[in-house]
Amino acid sequence: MFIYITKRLLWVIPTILTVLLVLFSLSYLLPGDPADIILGPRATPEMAAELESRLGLDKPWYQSYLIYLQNIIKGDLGSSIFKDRSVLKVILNVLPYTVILTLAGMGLAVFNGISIGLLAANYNNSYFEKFLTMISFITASTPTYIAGVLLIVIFSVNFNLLPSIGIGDGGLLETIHHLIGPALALSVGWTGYIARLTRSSMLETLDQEFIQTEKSFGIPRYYILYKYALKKAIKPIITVIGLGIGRLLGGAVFVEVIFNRPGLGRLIVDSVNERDLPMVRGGVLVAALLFIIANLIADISYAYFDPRIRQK
Amino acid sequence: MPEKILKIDDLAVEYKNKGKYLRVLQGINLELKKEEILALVGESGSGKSTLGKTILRLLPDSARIKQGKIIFKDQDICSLSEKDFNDQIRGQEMAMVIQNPQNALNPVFKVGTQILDVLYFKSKKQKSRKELKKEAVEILKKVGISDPEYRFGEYPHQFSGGMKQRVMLAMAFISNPSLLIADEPTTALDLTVEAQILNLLSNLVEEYQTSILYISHDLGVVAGLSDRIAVMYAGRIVEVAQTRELFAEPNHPYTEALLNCLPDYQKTEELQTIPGQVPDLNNYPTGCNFHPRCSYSFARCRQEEPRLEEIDSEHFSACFLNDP
Ligand SMILES: Nc1ncnc2c1ncn2[C@@H]1O[C@H](COP(=O)(O)OP(=O)(O)OP(=O)(O)O)[C@@H](O)[C@H]1O
Ligand code: SF4
Ligand SMILES: [Mg+2]
Repeated sequence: MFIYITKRLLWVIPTILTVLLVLFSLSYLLPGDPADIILGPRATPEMAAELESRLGLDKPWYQSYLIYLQNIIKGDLGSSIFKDRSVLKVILNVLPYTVILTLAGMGLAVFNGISIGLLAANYNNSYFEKFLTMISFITASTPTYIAGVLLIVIFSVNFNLLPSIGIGDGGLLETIHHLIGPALALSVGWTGYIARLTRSSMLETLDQEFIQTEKSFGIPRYYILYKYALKKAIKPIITVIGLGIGRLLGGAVFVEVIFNRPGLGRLIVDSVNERDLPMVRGGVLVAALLFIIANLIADISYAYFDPRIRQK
Repeated sequence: MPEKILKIDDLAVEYKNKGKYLRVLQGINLELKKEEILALVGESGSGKSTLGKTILRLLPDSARIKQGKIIFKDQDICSLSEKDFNDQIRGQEMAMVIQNPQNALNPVFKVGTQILDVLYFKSKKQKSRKELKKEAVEILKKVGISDPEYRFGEYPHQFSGGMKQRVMLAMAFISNPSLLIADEPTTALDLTVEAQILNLLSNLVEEYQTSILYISHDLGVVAGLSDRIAVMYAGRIVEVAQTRELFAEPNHPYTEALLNCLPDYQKTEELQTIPGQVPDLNNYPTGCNFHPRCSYSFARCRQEEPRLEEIDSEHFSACFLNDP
């Protein structure tokens, strides 16, 4: 297990280097002079010259890349083209909103998805199961932005149950109240997906011979279902949770824009509109890091559930 | 005559296939006496496992009991509710060891956990798992697992096929059942391990005084183990007799053909195989199921179904040759 984790951690390094290389090359790929792009409209020739020597833009690209890496390792993501705001600070300010939104969305998707899937597996071949399967199918194929708009229309406009925009005044209840709609919108697609996966994985597991053995030795049905079958069936679900967090981070962009919430996604969208390259680069880098971490956690927890890997 | 423990009465079972029910078992009549080992023998697909699963109610949802009764210790167990059946029968009175040990244990739980759970529910949740651990280790020792305390914490993939089957036997005998259904427990093992497991099984049977329904496709394996043999063909029992009598005086042409397939059953010069195959569930032949492959078949065999009749004391056969 230790070796497995170490190996897995080492793999992260080339992944990150590749992401950084792509982000770095953005300033060369965009039309125009890199220094002008990075400085934006406020650039004066003196500032451009100063920046060029500081970032090594006057040197060959690989030296400049190394300087870029050094800065990032130091935690310096550069500054926004507007008013010299530190990119890192801006990102750290909005990041918690995105993280909380994503985790809440995933939590809802996992909880609801597994519950629906378990019910469907338990009542397999009944009308109730057909109903649940239909729900899973519909939710799995609903795009996040449609779910978001629908939720606003139904719960905020028609029933006035949930606030439609913003994050509230900072109090805990207020925060949760403002989180329900966005998190639900974010979770919808994955709820259906996880429900369907849970159902098929459970049915497949329940069909295995060891389930017959357990039954024949008098282990009660609820125990077989929720202990023996679930632990085996949950494995594929765990891998998709990691994947899902990556997707939900993507979905969070829509949700943040629709519900007018601050967050990493909206920051990137706004920055792209404002052609604020340092901000876009920093935002995408942090998003990529989150994505990598999510996958890492998924892989390690997957290994934990598979004794064959764990014992190595 | 020793007391009966299990009596199966005119049992018929069907599988649903593409919306149609197909008969898998038909007119099964069978009795098991106390402390008896009854072997159920037949080619692959004849319905042996289905019969075993029917007794323990392990059939998939697609199967149904069309008719018949299963009487266990004077009680019609078909009429029990699922909950009562689980509380009173499975893991208390009956247990089953299945065909393929590779997949008989749950791969994501420690072997010890799985054994303890069986014990825990056997004790009707009265004893704690800590108390039960001693019993579990004891029985693992008994089935020949060395260093049981250590192996307790291991996962199934760390056990060999033979070791897994020993664990399965341990779990089956833990509950001290009156009836054990052993569905080809040695088929997947190599010959030396098979001999060891059979030997172990005989010892356990003696110690626990358990009745066994031993399912096998190999008459050679059950020859030394069983008291009686029931031969099954295409969902029907075609002959039942004491093991010795069946080998000495087989009555049914199918039994005879099976015996001629055994290497050391010297009736004919060469080793034989039975021509043709077990009929498909979709198209069982009319009349005697065996007639397309039977070298003795005559006109009546194609029209009527022979019934299992007592042809000698304790010797039953279903063939028109006895009643021309
Ligand atoms: N779940 C099922 N659905 C439909 N048909 C089935 C099912 N299980 C078994 N059958 C069919 O029922 C027949 C009897 O199967 P069964 O497993 O009882 O045979 P068997 O004698 O145990 O054979 P084997 O020696 O291969 O284990 C076979 O024709 C098989 O294809
Ligand atoms: S009844 Fe006829 S076909 Fe069937 S086994 Fe006897 S002789 Fe053969
Ligand atoms: Mg079988």
